[in-house]
Amino acid sequence: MLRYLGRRLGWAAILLLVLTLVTFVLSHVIPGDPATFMAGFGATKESIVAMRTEMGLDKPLPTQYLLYLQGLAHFDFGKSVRTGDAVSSDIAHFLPASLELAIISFTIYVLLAVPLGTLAASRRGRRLDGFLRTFSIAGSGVPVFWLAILLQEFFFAYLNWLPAGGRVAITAATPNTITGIYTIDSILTGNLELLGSAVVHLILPVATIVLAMLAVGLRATRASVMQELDRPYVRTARAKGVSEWRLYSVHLLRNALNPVISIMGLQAGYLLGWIILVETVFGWPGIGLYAYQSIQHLDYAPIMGLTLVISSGFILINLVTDLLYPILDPRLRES
Amino acid sequence: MAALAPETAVLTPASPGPRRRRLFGYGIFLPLGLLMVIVFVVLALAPQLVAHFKPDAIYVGPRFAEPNRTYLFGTDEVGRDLFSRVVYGARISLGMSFVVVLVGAVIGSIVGAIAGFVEGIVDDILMRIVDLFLSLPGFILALAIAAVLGRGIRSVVVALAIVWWPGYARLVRGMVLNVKHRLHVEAARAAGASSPYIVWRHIFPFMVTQMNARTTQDIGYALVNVAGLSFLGLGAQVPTPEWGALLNSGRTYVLNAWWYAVFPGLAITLWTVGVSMLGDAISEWSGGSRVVASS
Amino acid sequence: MQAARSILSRGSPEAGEAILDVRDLTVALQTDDRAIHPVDGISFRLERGRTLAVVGESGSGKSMTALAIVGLLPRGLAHLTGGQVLLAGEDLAGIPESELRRRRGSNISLMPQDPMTALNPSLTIGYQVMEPLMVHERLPRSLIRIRAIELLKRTGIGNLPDILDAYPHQLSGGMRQRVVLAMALICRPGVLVADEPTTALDVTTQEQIIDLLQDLQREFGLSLIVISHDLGVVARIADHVLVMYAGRAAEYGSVDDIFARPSHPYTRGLLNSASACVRSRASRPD
Repeated sequence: MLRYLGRRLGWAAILLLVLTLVTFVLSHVIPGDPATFMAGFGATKESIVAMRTEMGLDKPLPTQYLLYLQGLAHFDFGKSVRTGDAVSSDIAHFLPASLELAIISFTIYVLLAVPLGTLAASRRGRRLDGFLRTFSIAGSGVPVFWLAILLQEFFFAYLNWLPAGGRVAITAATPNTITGIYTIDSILTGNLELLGSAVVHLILPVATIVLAMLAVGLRATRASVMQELDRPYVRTARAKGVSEWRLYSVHLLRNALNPVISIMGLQAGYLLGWIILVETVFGWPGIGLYAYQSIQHLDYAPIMGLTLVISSGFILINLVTDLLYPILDPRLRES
Repeated sequence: MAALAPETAVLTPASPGPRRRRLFGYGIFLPLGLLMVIVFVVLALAPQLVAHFKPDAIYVGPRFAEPNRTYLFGTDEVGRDLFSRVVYGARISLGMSFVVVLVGAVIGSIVGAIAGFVEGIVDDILMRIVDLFLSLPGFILALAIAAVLGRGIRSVVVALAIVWWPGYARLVRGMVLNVKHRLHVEAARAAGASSPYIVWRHIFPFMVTQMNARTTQDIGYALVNVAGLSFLGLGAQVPTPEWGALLNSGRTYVLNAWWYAVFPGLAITLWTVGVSMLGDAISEWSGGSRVVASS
Repeated sequence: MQAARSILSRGSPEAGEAILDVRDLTVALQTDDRAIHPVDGISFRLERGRTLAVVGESGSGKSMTALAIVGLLPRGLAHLTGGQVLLAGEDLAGIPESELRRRRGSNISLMPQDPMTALNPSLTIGYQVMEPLMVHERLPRSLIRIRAIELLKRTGIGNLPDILDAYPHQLSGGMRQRVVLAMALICRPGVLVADEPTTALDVTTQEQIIDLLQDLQREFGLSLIVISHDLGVVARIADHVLVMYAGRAAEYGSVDDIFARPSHPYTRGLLNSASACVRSRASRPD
């Protein structure tokens, strides 16, 4: 088990290194003149020269890479031409909003997909089969950014029930940020009005993400549970007089969840990309919106920095998913 | 002895009645998917068949006209007919996704075939590289690559192709290994056939059938990614009516022109769904079975 | 149900009294075409403290019979269309599922086929053996644990350290069979239906399991139904035999009668293809 953990960590470390190599190549090697590239649109001659020295472009490539790595070790991702601040501080500033959105969406998604999928599996209906299959095919075809706009059009433009975007109403005062996650902060400071506003603004973005992932999750859970229901140990359990509730919660789920976790791990990966699209539509001030604005402005340092941060998150998620398997399946625990 | 009562029966517990299935062949998905794909491809190749206006002709109608008989999808902020723009956009959106999948599949197949056929250390190295690619988030990586290569259609296509090929390498390598260890290849070798001959006559046809389902579905997913990158401003630039770019323009007019963002997105969805159904049907046709035996 | 329970847990076996009385049991398969009856009008009596063997080849319907008795026919595939299953006078075929669930594992137990797959790979042996007690009786966890260990010792594997914390994949086939047996007996049921208890095992282990079953039967006053296609097992353990063929009862009687004077051509065929020691058992007076 420890060896498995060690191997996975080792692989993750290699991935991170390769990642830095990729961003290095993208920022230092590919562009015609990396200094002008990173100095940004409309940079002065002096700033370009300064950038040239900063990037160490006169030195041989391997040295440049080492310099680059050194900078990364200090979380130096360069400076944003647009905001004028260090990219790392920008990212730190915008990250909590994205984390809030991602974590809340994913949690709600799992809490919906697993019970509903299990419920659907316990009912072997033909119509249900067909409906879920249609829902899943339709669901996987709908682009998440279109869904976001549709929800916005319907609930904001048409019904005017929900706000168009942002995290809180303009009129609400920004809270004393403890974690930067408004829902948590407002609870911690006892600011109920802020909590209400934050929740209302979360509804549409969260709904978008949950809906976009639900089709696949429901189908995967249902398929997996149905497959488990055919296994011999289910008959053994029933022969012991075990109630259906106990059968599902104790016996079935820990076996059925294995493939579901794989799929959800994949989806968490997609989620990282979708965050950018969803934040853009709803003007949600997280790293996704930051990415969009950087793209619009041809501001490359933030784009590289974000690539590093988001990809690292992806690697981390995969690592966690890999570690979940032995926890669920005792057969994988032997060292 | 008389026939025994079967304890083993062939039953399909959770699927529609056998008679209805046979009527549609492989369910309703095959004809429906095929129809949708054909319609879209025809429109992409000959948009002038249904589009009455030029896609970049401005002020053919009033600004922000609601969908009506003349302007089926309404007009945009400079009076262009959105229906024409969406139809002409098919060629760009579909074209880009075709190229992405084609290039990705070709490169990936070559790499995967080499790895699978040669095996040994070459296989190890190549698959390590593939694994590295697959362990990084594709969309983000493509975004970074496209940003560095500069705005425009070519950047997005190249970026996505780079991200796309590892999946095919894995797939093809698996298939090659699978077929390699099958008896008829051994038999051919025993009869004195040379390696390239084996690849061509035995491995290749098998691969092609297996790949069809995957590539078909991939074209849909590729489009979603292409549109996504264009939506962020990286791919097709204004005024090219690529569907993702149209959505990006449309989302600023959510309040006064709801139709602007609805129809390009609908086009993306219908194409992806149609292609998915087709791919689903193909994979069923070439491999999957639906009968469940129980005892 | 309290009354029935006390009858079942009474001590010494009284010969001739039927603890399980199956009448005209019929099961139908759910297909779109013609009706298929894997179990067609089966009747038999199980006397208290005795062993009934249900014999037949694959496809004869013997496993289905076992499932039908405890109400575990695969849903959506097969269902009971007729007959009665009288357990200590109560018809199991007529009571609702929730009631039936309370009898399963506590009054009448099924020991399922194939110990290799019958256990949940993700739950400990301890939990799986203790579960029937947890479900059917309100006892403190510690007491349940003790009962589990005792029973596992009695079935021959309790002496292994940490057996309760082990997982099925860590045990051999024979060990798993003993676990399955313990699971079935931990609530001291009156009737045990053993479905092919020796089929998946090697010959030596088969002997041990049969011996174990007989010991436990004597000790617990258990009434046993053994389903098997192995006539050797039947010869050793059965008092009565029901021979099934194509879902119907081909022959039914005491084991001596059947082995010595088989009347149905199928039974004769079975015996002819059986080994010599089986046939010798048949000719021995008992």
